[in-house]
Amino acid sequence: MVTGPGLEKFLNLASQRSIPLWNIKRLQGDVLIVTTRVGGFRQLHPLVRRTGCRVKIKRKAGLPFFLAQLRRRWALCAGALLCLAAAYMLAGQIWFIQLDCPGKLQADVKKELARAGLVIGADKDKLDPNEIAEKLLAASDKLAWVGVEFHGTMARVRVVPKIMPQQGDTRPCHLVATRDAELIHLIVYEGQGMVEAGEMVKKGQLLVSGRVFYKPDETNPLVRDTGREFAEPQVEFVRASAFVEGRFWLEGYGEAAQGQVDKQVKRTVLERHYYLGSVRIWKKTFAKATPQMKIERNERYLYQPLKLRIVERYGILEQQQKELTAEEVARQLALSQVRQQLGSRDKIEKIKPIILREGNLVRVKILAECRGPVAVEKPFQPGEGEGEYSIGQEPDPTNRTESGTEPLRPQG
Amino acid sequence: MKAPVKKVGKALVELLELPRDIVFDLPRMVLSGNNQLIMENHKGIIEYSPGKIRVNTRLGEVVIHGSGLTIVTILPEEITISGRISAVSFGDWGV
Repeated sequence: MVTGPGLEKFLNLASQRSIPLWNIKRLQGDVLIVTTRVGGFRQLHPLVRRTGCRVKIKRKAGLPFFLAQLRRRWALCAGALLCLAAAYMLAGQIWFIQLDCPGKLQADVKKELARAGLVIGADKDKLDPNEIAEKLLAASDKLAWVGVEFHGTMARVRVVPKIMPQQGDTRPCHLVATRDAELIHLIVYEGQGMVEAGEMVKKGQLLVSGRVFYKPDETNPLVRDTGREFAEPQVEFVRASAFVEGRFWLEGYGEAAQGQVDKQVKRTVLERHYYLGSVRIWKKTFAKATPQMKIERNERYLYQPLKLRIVERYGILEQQQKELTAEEVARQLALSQVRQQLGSRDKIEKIKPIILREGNLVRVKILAECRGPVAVEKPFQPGEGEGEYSIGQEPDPTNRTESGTEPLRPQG
Repeated sequence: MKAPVKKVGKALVELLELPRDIVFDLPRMVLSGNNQLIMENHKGIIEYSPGKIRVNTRLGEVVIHGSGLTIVTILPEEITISGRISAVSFGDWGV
């Protein structure tokens, strides 16, 4: 703060002598507030004498004054340094372990992690994530992959368990027809084919036999290829396997005296809210809810690590759809009856409806041509039951029974 | 004697397209909006109050009118004034 009559002269002399002055403000009267450096303040003394002004320090600011203050408050400095040291030391340790692992394995994985040194309070510098992962994999045969990552003071452990393939049934079996059908494809993978594609088969008829015979014949490809020579016919019991597809026909019946109104549910998105954590960052409205609507809410994550999620509000409205005639109702009933008889892999290829009207009553019969797998495994015991062969006897593929369940009968 | 020299000097500057402010040591002012004025080649402050600043130059004085006027920096060759500037006038200019 500079006071006195010749303030302009003071400023001009200061600028001529290159004394750094800035933020100069003139207050009421002959008072000037200026900012200068420590060195500049010392240079002002001759000017003060020459201009007759008085200079007074109003406030001291800057690093030299701050350090001088700190010198008096040494305990504060020590505390700050201690705090920094503590923060540095604590940041170098693991304080949280996030385990992403199926529940059954969690206890074992935790034990192994502790054995590998990954516990709460462990020094991060002494731990190698790859080494811990390798130790875990070596310690347990139930794990397929282990990933260990350090994020700050958190260790994230992700574990993928081994999923072993299911051991298939190896008992010998035949393949038999599940229904009356015309065979479209028959490709035998294992076993002995008893029918051919294009043939009609009955329900329960043997399609592929689990008994395979080898003749003591050089021309037999099995003998020729394997180089084995059989002194007498050999029989082998296998699990028959084949691709069997057939065409079959199904019937469905339905009747109805009057039509009905079909109802449909209409789902409308009303609002979409975008959240980052628990803070809503954006909201978009698509439609307004009406009193008839039933409101539902759906929530899904857009980006899990950032907790970015969408919350959607739906309005669900039951709408009246078109009226169905009695014929359409009966047709639907018949068709549903057909579908009940179909397997999951069966397909309807053609539909032929037969419609009969008796007054108001409409009867609909549907004949559906379908296509799908028509074989099922039928296990057997090699040493017992009917159709067991003795060595030297072989089944005659042409000798098929009407039922087809056990076409292989001992000859003689 | 000075007038003919001045005339010759002016003619030379125009002929050679030299910058006049450097050759004649003219004050150079940059006014940014009505908030800041930077003036080069000044010869000192004649008067300073929050509403008016009079600055001396080689050709005469420059008067800056306004309110809340402060001198941001003052150096031997340059002065920066900020505040709400309402008018800049030139008094007793030789040219």
